[in-house]
Parts: sequence; C-alpha cells; structure tokens
Amino acid sequence: MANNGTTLLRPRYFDRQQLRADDLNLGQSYLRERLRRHNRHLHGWGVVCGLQVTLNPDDPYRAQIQPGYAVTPLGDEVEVAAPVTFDMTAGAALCLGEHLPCPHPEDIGSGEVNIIRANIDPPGKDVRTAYNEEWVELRANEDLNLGGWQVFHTIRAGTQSEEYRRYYTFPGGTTVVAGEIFRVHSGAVAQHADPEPGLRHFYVATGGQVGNWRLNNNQERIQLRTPEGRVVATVRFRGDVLAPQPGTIYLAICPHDETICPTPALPADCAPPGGTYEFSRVREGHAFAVLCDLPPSHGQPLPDCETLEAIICGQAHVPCPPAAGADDNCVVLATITYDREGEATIDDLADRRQLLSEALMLAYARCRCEEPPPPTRPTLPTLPTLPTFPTLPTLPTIPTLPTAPTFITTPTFITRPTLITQPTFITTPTFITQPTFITRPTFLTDPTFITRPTFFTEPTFITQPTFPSFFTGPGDIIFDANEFDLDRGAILPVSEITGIGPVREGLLRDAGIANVLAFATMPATDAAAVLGVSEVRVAEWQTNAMDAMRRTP
Amino acid sequence: MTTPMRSASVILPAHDEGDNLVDTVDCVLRHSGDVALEVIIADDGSTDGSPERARARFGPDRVTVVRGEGLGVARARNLGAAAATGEALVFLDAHCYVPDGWLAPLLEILAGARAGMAGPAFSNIHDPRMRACGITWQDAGLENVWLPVTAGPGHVPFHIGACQAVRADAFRDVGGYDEGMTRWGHEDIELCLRFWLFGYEVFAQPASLVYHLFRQRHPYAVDGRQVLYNRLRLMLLHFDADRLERGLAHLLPYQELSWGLARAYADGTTRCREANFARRHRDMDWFCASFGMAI
Repeated sequence: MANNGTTLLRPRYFDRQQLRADDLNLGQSYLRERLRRHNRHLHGWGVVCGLQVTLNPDDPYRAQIQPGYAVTPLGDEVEVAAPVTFDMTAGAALCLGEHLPCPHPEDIGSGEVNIIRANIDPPGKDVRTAYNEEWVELRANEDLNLGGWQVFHTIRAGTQSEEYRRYYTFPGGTTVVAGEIFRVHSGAVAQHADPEPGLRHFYVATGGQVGNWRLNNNQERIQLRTPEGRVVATVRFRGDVLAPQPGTIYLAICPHDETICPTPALPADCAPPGGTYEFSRVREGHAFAVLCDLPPSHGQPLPDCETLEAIICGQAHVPCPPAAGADDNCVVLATITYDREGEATIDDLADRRQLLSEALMLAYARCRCEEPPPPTRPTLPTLPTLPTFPTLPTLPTIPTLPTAPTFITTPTFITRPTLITQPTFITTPTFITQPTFITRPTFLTDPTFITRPTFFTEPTFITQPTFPSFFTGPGDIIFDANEFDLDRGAILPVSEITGIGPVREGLLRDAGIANVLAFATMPATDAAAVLGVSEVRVAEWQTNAMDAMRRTP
Repeated sequence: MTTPMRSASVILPAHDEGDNLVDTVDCVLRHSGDVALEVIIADDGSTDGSPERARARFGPDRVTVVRGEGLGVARARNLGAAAATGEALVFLDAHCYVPDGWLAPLLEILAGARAGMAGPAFSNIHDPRMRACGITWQDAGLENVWLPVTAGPGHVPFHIGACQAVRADAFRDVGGYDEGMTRWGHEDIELCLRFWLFGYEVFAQPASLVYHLFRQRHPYAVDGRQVLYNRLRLMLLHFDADRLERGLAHLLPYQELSWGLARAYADGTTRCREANFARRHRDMDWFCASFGMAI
C-alpha cells in the first residue's frame, strides 16, 4: 500500500461497526484539516476584509476592532461579526513592562529641564532589592551645566506635613545638551546590571551604599532646582493613571474554540447515574492577543515580482508556502507603538497581511476591460536635440512567452534600460527615466512620467492622461530653441497674447505665470482652472503664445 | 476630376461638453475661411445647456441644434448629417481647437471624386508639440496606433472621429455611420474601413491641424461592454472567417465577449455583414496588403 506521507486520516465506516465518539470526531477533524490545507495552499492567509483597528482616544490601551474575516497561517477562518473593544493593558504590560506613574499634564513645564517620568515605588514592590529600579527621568531642553543642580522629592506627600527633601545633587561639571534624556537612580552604579541604553544614568547611592531608597509613594512631587534655589520644574506623579513603557506591540486575532452546552453523560463503568456532564458543542470563535514580537509567519517575505513572473510564465517551480508553527496561528491586525510620553501611534496596515478574494481580483481585472479605449498616443514626434545614450547591449532572443500579465501596483521607478515583454498593468504612478522597451500590450492606468525615449512596439492602453511626452510637470515643456525664441518668450508679458487682457494677466500672475513662455508651457487644465475658461480657449491662447515666440524663417 | 467643395457643414456631436462646446463653435466660425458654412450641434441629451448657449451666442442662422437622447456618437453624427446641407460634412468633436486655415486643406482633398474622407493632423491640447496624422492597426488586436505626420497628403487606413471630413454624397452612398454601433468606440474606424472597401479613399491632410482635448474621463458613462461590442461588430461586419477568428482570439479574455456576441446575433449584425460583403469592391486582403497590416 502506497504511503505518500499524508497525515490526514479519515474514518471508514462499515456495517455493524461499533462507533465511538472518536470515530465521529475524526470525520469532523478530517474535514477541518482538509479545509485548512486548502486554505493554506490555494488561498494563502491574511485579512480578507474589514478588521480595521483604532485606539480609544482617551485610553491608548483600548482598541476597537471592526467586523471582518481572516484566514490564519494554519488555514483557520476567523470572523468578527460586530465591532468589539479589546483591552490591551495586560498584554502591553507583559510585553513592555510595568507601567509607570504618569505626571500631571499641567505640571509638564517648558523650562530648561523637564521632569518627564519616574518609577516610584510601584505598589507592592520592594525596591530595596533593586534600588536602581527606582528612578527619576529628566530631559534637557537646552545645553546646560547642571553642576550643583538638585532634585528634590516630597516626604509625607498628601499630608499637612508634606515637605521637600533633597534626592540628588548633580556633580560639578555635569553638562547636558538640548534634547538629552538622563535618569537619576536610587541605587549605585555597581549594582546597575543592565542600564537602559540611550540614556545617561546618575546614581544617588555613594560610597559603599547599594542604594538610597528615597522616593516613597506615588503621590509625591519631584522638583528640580538650580544651585541658587530657583525652581525649574515641579511634577506630581499620579498613581491612578499609568504611562506605558515605550515600545511596540502587535494586536492579533487568533482562532479560539470554546466548548459549551454541558450535556448529561452516562457515567463510565458502573458508577451511578447523574452528575456526569460532557460539553456537546464547540463554539468556533476568535480571541484577540497582544504579541510582543511579529510572528515568524508575518516575517516571511512573499516572492518578488521577478520570481512571480518566472512562476506564472512556467519558467520556475512553485514553492510551497512555508509551514507555520503550531503556535503561529494568529493574524496581526495592527502595530501599536508607545513613545516615552505615552503617545500611541497605530498602524493597521504595515504589518498586516492581506488576502484578496477572487471576487476582488476579478473586479480589478474587469476594471481594465470596462475602461474605454483611450485616445491613442501619437508616435513620438521628431525631437529637438536628444541626449546621447550609451550603446545598449544586444538583447538575447526572447522566447515566445505566454501572455500572462504583469501587475505593477506600487509606484515604480524604471531607472535602467528595461525590457517589458509581457502585458503589463502599471496602475500607479510610474516613472520611466531610462530607455525602456515595452514590447507587449501595456496598460498605463495612472499618470506615467516618461522622460526618456520609450519604445512602444505593441498596442498600449493608456486610460489616464498619460500622454507620453517629454515633460514631467508644469513648466517642463521644452520647445525647440531653433524654432522658438525662448528668450523672447521669457520676456514677453502674457498680455501680449491676443485674448488675454489685464484681468487675465493678473490671474496668471497670481498663479506664478508672468510671461509668454511660462504660459505656453502651463498645463492646459491648470490654465483653464486659473482663468475660468475652457481648455479649448486655453489651447487657442497657448497656440497664440507659441506663435508669439516662433522665429521667422 | 475634381469638384471644389463650395459649402461645408461642421457637425459636432455633444453631450454635456460645457464651455468647450461653445468655444469650439467659436473657433470654427472664426477660423474656417470663406466657405459657406453651417454649424450643426447634434445634441445627445445634454443637461448643461451648452448647445443652447452656443446657439444663443452665435445666432440660429449660424448654429443649428438638433436633438436626440441616448443616441451614442454614431447616431448623433448621423442625426446631424441628416440636417446638413453642405457638400462636405466635417464631423468634429466638441472639444477641439481649430486654428485659422484648418478647413480649406480638407475641402481641397474632398474635391477629388474618389475621396471619401480627409482627416487632419492632430495635436494634443495638453501638449501642443505633439503631431500625428492617421491611424492604423498593427495586428489582430485592432488597437489604434497613430501614424506620423508626412510632408504632404496621402492615403491612410483610418482617421479618428475627432475630426473626419467627408464628401456628403460619398457619406450617404456608403450609408453613414453604422447605427448599430453603441455609445462610443470604433464607429469612426468602421466608417473609414467601409469607405475603403466600398471603393472610396481616405486621405491624411497634414496641412490641416486640429488640437484635440484628450480627456481623462468622458463626461458621460461609457460601458466597457459596449466598447467591446463595437469592436466585435466591426470585425463581424467586414472580416473574413480567418481574420474574424484571429480577432476573436484577442477578445477571448474578456468575459463580456459572450454578451457582445449574443447582442450581435440578435440585432442583425449578420444581415449587415451580408450586405457589406455583397456591396464592396475591395476585400480585407487588399486592405491589409495595401497598408501592411498583419491581421
């Protein structure tokens, strides 16, 4: 019996078979595994639709997820039927560390130095075993000599006998630069095993001390004074609002099965009936998770366009998608980054893998069919002096290839001589700045800037205003200096053009068009908008402008 | 034998062309020289009042408006032609700038008895340096490819409908624009092909220049199925079996092909094909060989 190594197992029923739950469950799991395998190989994985993520403006830890549907790396389906809010606090703390007390916003000043963060005796934590975990963080707003400056904290905070005590004095000669962040620890440098990089660290403990536990509770004030006693900054730290540690987390959706519907079951062996239940249903659902790192599946790059073209054109084998680990079965929906000030930025596209449905791809392909054939592009006119191009290498004979289309869907810069030998869909702005040979039907559906000779030797569908022409933007039309007196054009006022009187001259001047040459090279649509006339009228005036510059033979 | 054209009707099909229509009419009236001229706006259901503005501005004795609804460009042009009295009919898009002296060279060509159509050199309002004159096909995909401007007039396979000047008698002899063509697309090419196959000639006249506004979007809805249908119809009307097979092969990727084929058979395209084949003096072999088309 052949064994091709498949791991799928399905039940085989026969007459008078004694069936057990395992047999019936095997039938289910077989189908589920088949579907997973089908999804993985034939569809891929990712977000199919929806599942947009936003953050609560008042709480950067609460995310709202919109309804949607996704397929996980192992091929499971997950669906969110209605908008849902998810609290990421616990997950973020696990990834980024405990949260810190937050300064009162009104206390954040704009003096020479700001007190921006502090880790003050987290409730329940005994910092005497780790003095350096207690600290005050400051940021210099200008270059300063901090020698003799002092950090104070209050004792008996929140009581009538609250008073300031000195926490730390900066040594003489301590200088900081604008923007520098530095931290004063309650411990000693010798006990600081893993100082946070990118910061400058100072230590309260001196001599043989291992620490000097000063900061007492989370209602105290921290104050910075100059040697003369001038208060530079005072901050109260709140214990009820905690600032997140800086860092990045990933919000993901995962499949989640929940057994439900307890049903009375017969007891095993000879146990008396009653009291035995089994769950008779599994609710297939989803769960959200906060991930500290991007899962390995999300870091696997998709084949590049060159590889894809070789595959589609039958020149390369199709690689199987890399298998995801059993614990890598979530789909990242959003990447959330917290900065030092507690500001959160969310990006629900950058690390998200999208899986496009066939309907969407078909609709996209149909876009190419439904657009009417455009006015075709004239062949290139005789040019004025062309730059000298290097001799192009002789290209090898191109074999007849299947006419499978190439999709260029991101802004593309063709900066080397390029041979496009398949029908090509260029659907985003494309810059062709080197000699380009396009020898198959090419669809340019977005503005295309062609600044070098481009050879279209096959029919070309240009469905957007993509007249290949030798200018890339306003003012870049270059007239032949042999035919047109450009110097004269640059001097002649636009009022010299028949039909453009003082009022229109003023409108053009406001638009930065002050002379005949500038007007002649102005895009017709722009001129029409500025002057409030039709493009046909603009064409007449621009023709007059050209005539005004034309050299007499 | 030549017969100078003494009168010309400039026919502009229009649907919501706005100020471009008014200014196109203005240019035509100012720059067409001394020939007896009438301007006919074939209004295909405009809602922006531009045909009425043009007529009011230039006067009903100079500008005539004939109205239809949902005609499409082919039938709109025919509607205008039916109202025209000129010896030459000049079909012009309503978003063109025609410079002084544009018309006379076209009429000069049409003086020849075998001339069916004359077309100008085109430029692009967005880039007035561009020049091209005439259209050809390169392969059975039937995509239009511009031809370069030549030193003097000469034969070309096709002209785009943005400006097609025809002898009125020849136009009526060949039956005008094919009324089976839907809204937009290929009706201009089909007329040129019919002129050639029915024994007339199509000329490029580079001494005439028309600036055309090549637009990003039509001011009216254009259904891609209908454009495909027009191309299909053109092939069915004129192509022999082998060419038809090669042409259809290019349309196979489009799922709207079935829609187009069903409509073509339902609306009598095959009867028109039979009539064309019976009438024509030249066939596609001659046409393709004459213009070096590998179709």
